[in-house]
Amino acid sequence: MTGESLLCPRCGIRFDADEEGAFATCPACASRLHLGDEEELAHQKLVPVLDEAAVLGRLARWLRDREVLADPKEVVTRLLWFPFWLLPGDALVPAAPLLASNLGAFHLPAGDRVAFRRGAGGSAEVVPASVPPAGIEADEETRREAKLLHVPFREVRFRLWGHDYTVWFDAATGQALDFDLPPTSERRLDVTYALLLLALFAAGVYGVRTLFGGTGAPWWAGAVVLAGAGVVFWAVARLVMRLSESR
Amino acid sequence: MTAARATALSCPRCGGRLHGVASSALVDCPSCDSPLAVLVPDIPVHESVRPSLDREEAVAATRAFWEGRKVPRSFLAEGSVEEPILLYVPFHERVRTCSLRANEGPAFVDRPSLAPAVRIPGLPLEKLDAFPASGAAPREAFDAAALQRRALVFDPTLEAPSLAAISGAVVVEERAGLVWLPVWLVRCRHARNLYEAALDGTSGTVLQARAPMERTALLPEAIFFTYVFAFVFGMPLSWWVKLVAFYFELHWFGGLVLTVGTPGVVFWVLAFAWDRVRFRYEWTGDRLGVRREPVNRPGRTLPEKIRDGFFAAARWINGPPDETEKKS
Repeated sequence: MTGESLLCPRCGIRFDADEEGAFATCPACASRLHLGDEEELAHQKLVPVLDEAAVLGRLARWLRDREVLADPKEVVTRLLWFPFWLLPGDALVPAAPLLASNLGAFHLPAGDRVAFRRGAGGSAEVVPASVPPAGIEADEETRREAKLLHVPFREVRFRLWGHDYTVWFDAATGQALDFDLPPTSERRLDVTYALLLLALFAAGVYGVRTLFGGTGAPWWAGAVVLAGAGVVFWAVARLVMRLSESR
Repeated sequence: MTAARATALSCPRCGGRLHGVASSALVDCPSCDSPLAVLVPDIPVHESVRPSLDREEAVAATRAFWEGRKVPRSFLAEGSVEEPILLYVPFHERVRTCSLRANEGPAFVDRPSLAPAVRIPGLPLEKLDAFPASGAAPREAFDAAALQRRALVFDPTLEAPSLAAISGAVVVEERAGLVWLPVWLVRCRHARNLYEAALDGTSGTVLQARAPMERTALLPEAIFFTYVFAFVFGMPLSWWVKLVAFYFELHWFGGLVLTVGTPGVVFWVLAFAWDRVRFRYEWTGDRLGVRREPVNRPGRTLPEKIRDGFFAAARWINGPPDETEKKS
């Protein structure tokens, strides 16, 4: 946070400006200080609290919730700042193009907000705002009250089954923004399907053995088992797959 | 911020205001319809193309693309399709006027070129047929704020690629600009998975799309393979004895190899059949065609590893290939 702290020219104390606008108040001597560059100080940013280890835990939980059971490979994380317009009522509108698939479910993360200054992000990428207030689909009054808020995200890139995926976790509360979802494992369906195939195989072996007189039952019983097992397998497998899809 | 300047421009003929013009542009006056050329120093022509498809037509084009394919009936059904997203993606446009040295004197031709000015992960802009798209609808002066209210507008981030020289021609003039082309992104959630289709906003051509494959489509294959193996394992033991005897009648050493090899081949085919029917599949398609791809499949499955191991062993036994073999 050293890059963000200010030096009071009157009493010499260092402090963090957490006020919005071009002015700040020294916490020691209560001097009102003009900070220059009004446009940038009108922005705010959320203070990131999630570190890399915490975000990897979030990734594991996110994958588990999606029933993705494989381990992600080549996991790479980085911090970035993405701009949002904060509208009255705490509604967020991206201030740059954002193709996240679950943007509608993303809410304003709770957390401390401080003034945003260029260079304050350190080595983290600061995505520039490209949507002016005039580009927000809202009435004029709402646009006037819109404030630019830079939200910190921990971007996680990983590889799964030969495909690359990207998830952003907001570094304040850990909400996920996903761009492409890894397919669910559907292990329950796979196990059921394998058991059904095994049952069909057992019925098939019994049917074939009966056809050739290996079980003592008449040959036509083997034919009936072979015909019936296929039909039953077909019907049950379809039902199980439909149930899995509708879940 | 996207290049947008608060410059009030008016038509020199009728005095009507030209709203939204923020760069060099060729526009028609909205009041008197006069063709106008606006020149803003240091800012090349910025234009956009209006999409020919609306939201419903974009969804309909996606449904039409998957028609006839084995996709689940509930896929792209009402309620599972999300609100389509309109994207405006910038392309570098360069028009070179060339002088051809014809026998009857110089002839001038325009050689236009279009290249994506942005890279969007997961969106293959190189598949967009930019020439028809850029000329499919009348162009408008690029008004970033107006477009951003109804679409995601991407800023150019890539440099314009250098153009190759044209043989036998001299470039007498070169005009550079940026044109924003519309792309629809149609998203559908099915069985907790997300499927996307990116469409050219002017023609409805699918640039890239994914869809789940109806899993029941593999059931006939599963039943067939299972019964084949049920027959192999269920047939009387005497048949196997007869088969082995037949092998040895052919050749004593060959018979020995076939007696050992037959169960191996049977198990190998069984493993490949299991590999084929156990994975889910999905369709991936573009304007060139549709392919079937397995989902959650490792790069090499166990039977493939065993097969590759056999080939590696065979190569090791045969020794390294000589130069002639390598060349062939």
